[in-house]
Amino acid sequence: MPEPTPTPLPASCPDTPLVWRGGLSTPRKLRRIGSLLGAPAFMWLGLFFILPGLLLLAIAFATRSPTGGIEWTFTLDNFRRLVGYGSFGWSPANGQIILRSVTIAAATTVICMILAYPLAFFIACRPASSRMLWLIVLTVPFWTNLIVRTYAWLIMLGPESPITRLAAMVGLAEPGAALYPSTTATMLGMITAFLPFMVMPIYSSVEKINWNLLEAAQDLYCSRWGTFRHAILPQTYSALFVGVILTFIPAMGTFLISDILGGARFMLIGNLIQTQFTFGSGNPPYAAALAFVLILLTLIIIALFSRLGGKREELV
Amino acid sequence: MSINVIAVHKTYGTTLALSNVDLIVKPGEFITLLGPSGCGKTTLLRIIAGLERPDSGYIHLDGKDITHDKANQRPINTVFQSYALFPHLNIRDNIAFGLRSRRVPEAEIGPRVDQAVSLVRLDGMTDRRTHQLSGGQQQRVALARALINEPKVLLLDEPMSALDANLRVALQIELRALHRRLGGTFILVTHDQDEALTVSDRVIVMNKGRIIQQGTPSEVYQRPTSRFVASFLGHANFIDAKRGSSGMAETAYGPLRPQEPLSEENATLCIRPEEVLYPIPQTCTNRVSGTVREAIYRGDHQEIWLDPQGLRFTTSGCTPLKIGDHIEVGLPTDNLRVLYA
Repeated sequence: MPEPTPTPLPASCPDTPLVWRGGLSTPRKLRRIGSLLGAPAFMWLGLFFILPGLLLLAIAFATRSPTGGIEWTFTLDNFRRLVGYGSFGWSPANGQIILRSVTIAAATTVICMILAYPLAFFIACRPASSRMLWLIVLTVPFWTNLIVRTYAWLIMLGPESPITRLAAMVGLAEPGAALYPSTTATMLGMITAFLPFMVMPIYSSVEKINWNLLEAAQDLYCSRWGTFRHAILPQTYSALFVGVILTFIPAMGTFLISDILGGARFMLIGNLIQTQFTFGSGNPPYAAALAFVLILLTLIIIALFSRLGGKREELV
Repeated sequence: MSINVIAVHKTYGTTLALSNVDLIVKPGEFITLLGPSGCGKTTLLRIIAGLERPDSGYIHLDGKDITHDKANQRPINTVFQSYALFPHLNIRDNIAFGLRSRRVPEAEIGPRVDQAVSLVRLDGMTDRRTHQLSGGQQQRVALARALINEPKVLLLDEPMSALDANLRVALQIELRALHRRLGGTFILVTHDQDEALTVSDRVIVMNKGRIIQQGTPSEVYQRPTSRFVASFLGHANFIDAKRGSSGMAETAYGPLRPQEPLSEENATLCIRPEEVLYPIPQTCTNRVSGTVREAIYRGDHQEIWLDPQGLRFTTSGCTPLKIGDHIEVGLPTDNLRVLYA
């Protein structure tokens, strides 16, 4: 029987030499160097993200101790309670909180998108000298702590502030009353906090827009809307995607803004987790279960969204 | 369809782009706007396309004033220099774009795309993305995307500038054949004089926002009316001349007899390198002698610079010249043009 002729090595063969930065190297070597350089980051993530995440999952199946700590007795009670089954039968409260969190986060994201899109174009179309200034103005709020910024809203929406008086004048609020705590106040705080996260990625994509495509679209009989739809929007899809992720995820998890501006009755999933994690009065295993659900929910929504935008994503 | 450009004027800030340009393009003509960068040729094209507004003047299409029509209202399509293909669409959808914008029924779009695709010979590639195509293929897509709309006027903004030399020549010939086949009015912008001479019925030479000269390729090449045109289209020797007696011109080479007697005191004589005669025939009266300063081998011919005045000429004579050879060449009267500008 004739011996089978050896097949030629494919280009991706691990030891095919390839030139790398002037030195002769192989893909295998490159991979080793790559893992070595990436090791600190992997270790960091493993130690401070994956490990705590697993711990969180473990706690979610533990029991609350009488003192409000953790007792390592396996139970599914936390998840039962999460979907609404408490000591007094089923209640929709948790469902409402989760639904409200998703709605508020989605609304914040959408409003941020609507505000950020034109703003990004405005900044990108400034002359280079003043463009930097606009970007600084946009990022100045980050120089201040989020708590301080959120408290600033209390003053702005307080009973004596011009905004409140104006609102009272046009009949949007009762005279002499503050505009907080309210959903509107929370939304204002959240949009203010997250807007730059939406503007920045969109701005960087607008800066790179190929304006020739706009002329091509016009040359090919597109209306103004058609030009936007076919020549501008597709060029910013990936930036919108990044912006949505950067806005939606923190918006889902926020508790500080809703705590300060939303009041005690306006509870988001973040607030619920925070109260339940308070040792002594809270229920840490239940909080862990909630936190786990929050992570899962966010991942699912982002996955759904990226599937929606995924087809377009590859094109940009 | 005919295009009438009437007294079109355009400035960008303080920069003059077009200075009262008049131009008539006859139906079915293939014209080239030729000139160095910044001469206003692209601005003129963009004004015809409707992508730019003139400060004053009019654009008429078949006698109808379209000066204030927007780009999307004009039956004119453009092949852009950068092609400007939509990266989020595949080749088929790029080509179908104009028809879809105008809400042509899908049943009609399919066959028309197929037809356009085979016209530019891109069969079998319609499902690809634009970035999967080579420069030449992208250029064909841009061409098909414009032609499928059956534009009354097709504008081409330096469509070959991004291609390598061989491909460029092939596409120029193809473009010419396409124009013959489809008819229609084509206006091409280029700074490449070879391209202008190759493809067009008529060449419009522009400089500094004005039309300097227009005519058939052979007219503008053979009978340039200015030093600019003579030097922009091909190579030329320029010889400063003063009016002499009995139709002669006094030059640094001595007295020469030009095509026609000088009508002004000072002029420039112009002769192209390939028109200089070497070896010199007995009948030639304008004789110039000199020493070979530089001799370059070009395969099918030799290129020579002659001292002391640096006269440049080409020879296909069988005996190659060497640096230092002392020779005599002829400047035939028929080719010794007189320029005043």
